[in-house]
Amino acid sequence: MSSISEFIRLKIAETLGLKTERINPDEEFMSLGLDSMHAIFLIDEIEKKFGIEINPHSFWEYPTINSFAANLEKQLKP
Amino acid sequence: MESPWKPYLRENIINPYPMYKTLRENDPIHQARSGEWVITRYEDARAILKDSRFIVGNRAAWLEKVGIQHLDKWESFKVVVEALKSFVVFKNPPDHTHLRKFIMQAWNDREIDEIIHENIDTILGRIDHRGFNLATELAAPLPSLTMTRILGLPIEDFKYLESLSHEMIHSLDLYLTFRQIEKMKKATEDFIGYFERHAAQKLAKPDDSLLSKLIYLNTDNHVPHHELIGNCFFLFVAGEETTAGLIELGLYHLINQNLLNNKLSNTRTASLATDELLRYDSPAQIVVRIAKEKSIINGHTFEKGDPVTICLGAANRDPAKFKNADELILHRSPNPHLAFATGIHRCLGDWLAKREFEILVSRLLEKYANIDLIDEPVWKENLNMRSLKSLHITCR
Repeated sequence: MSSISEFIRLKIAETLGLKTERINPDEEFMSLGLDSMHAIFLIDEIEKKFGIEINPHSFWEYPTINSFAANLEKQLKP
Repeated sequence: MESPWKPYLRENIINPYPMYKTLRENDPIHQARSGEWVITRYEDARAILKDSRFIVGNRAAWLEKVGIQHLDKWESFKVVVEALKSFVVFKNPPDHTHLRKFIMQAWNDREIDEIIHENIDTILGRIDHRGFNLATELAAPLPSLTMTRILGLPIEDFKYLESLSHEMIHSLDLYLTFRQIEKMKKATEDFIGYFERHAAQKLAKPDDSLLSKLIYLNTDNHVPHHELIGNCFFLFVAGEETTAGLIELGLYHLINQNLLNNKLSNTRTASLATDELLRYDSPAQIVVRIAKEKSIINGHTFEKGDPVTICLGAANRDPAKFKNADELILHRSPNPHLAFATGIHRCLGDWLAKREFEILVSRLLEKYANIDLIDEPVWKENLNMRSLKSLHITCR
C-alpha cells in the first residue's frame, strides 16, 4: 500500500473508531459507513498532510481507499 | 444495480441530460446511495415544489450538523450557516411569508431598461470584440454591474462584489471541502461588513436605491437587522450567478445552433426564445427540499425527514410535458418550464434576468453582423449551478 492509502485508511479507522486492519481498502466508502460529512474532514486532512488541493467530486468518483489514493498519486506526480 | 445518479462525474457535469433521461425513464423517484430522493419527472418536481409539506433549509441544517461535529472548526461554519439561515430562499413559512413580502415591497422598480443598456455599452466598450471570454468579460460583469447599481452601491465596487459572489455560490455545491468553507466564511464576513457600511450611509443619506428602500421600510426593525443585511447579500449573489449562467448558456446555444439572428430583435420573439433557452439548459439545475411529514406524491411515499433533490433541468426535458423536449425550439409556447422553480420560492428576479439577457441579445445584434465561437466552452465543475468558466467568441 502507498503512503497515501495508508494515511487515508488510518484516518478512516480513527473516524469510525475501528482498528485499521478492519478497514478494507477496496471496499466502497459508503459501505464502510462514510458519508459526505466525513468526506469534508477527510479531504481536509489529506490536503494538509500532502499539500495538495482535492476536487471534492473525486471522493465519490473514486470511492475506495485504493482507487482514491491512486488518483491522488497521479496528481502528486508531475 | 449501480445507481445512474452520478452528479460528480465530469461527463455528467458537462452534459447531465443523458443521466437525467436514464433516471426519468427507469427510476423517476430514485433513491441515491447517499439516501436522498432524486426527482426527474416534471409532474413530480412541480408537485413537490408546490407542496407545503416539503420545506427548505437542508443546506444550512447540514452545514450546522457538520460544524457541530467538529467543534474546533465550528467558528468557520457558524458564519456561513448564520448567513444562509437569513436568506429568504432558505426560510419556511411563516417567516418566509413576511420576509418575502417585505423584500417585494422594495423590489418593485421595473424601470431598469436604461440601466441595463448603459451597463451593456460600458462593458462592450471595454472588451476586444475580435476575441474575448464571454463568461468572464461579459456574462459575469453585466449582472454584477446591474445589481450594484440597483442596490445603489458605488459602481467601481462591482468587480469586488462579483468576486465575493463567486465564492458564496459554492454554498450550493453538491460536494464541499473545508477549504471552500473557509473561503465562504471570508466572503460572508466581507459581504456583511461591506453592506453594513453602506446601509449606515443610506440611513444617513437616503436615495431611491433598493438598499435605501429596504432600510427605510425597516425603520421599525420589523425584520431583524442582520437578516436585512443577509438578504442584501443574497439578492446580489442570486442576481449575479444565475443571470451570468443564462447569458453564457443562452448565447452559447444560440451561436452554436446558428440561431442568433435578427428575428430576435422582435420583443415578443426574444421573450419566447429566452424562456425556451431557460427550459433547454437552465442555470439552476437542482433545488432541494425535506419532507416535513410523511407525504405521498403521485403514489410514492416520502417519510418524514427524507431529503429530496429536484432536478429542474430534468423536469424541463420531460417528454411527457414538452414535445421534442431535447430540441431547442425558440418559438415554443406555452412553455411552463421550471427554470425559476415554482411555488412559494419561485425566483423573484426572473424578470430582471430575462431583461438583461434580452437587451444584451438585441444590443449585440444591433452592433455586430457576425458573432462566432472561437473555441469550445469550458464548464464550471458544479452541476447545481450550470455555467461556464470560459467561452471565447468573436464579434464583427
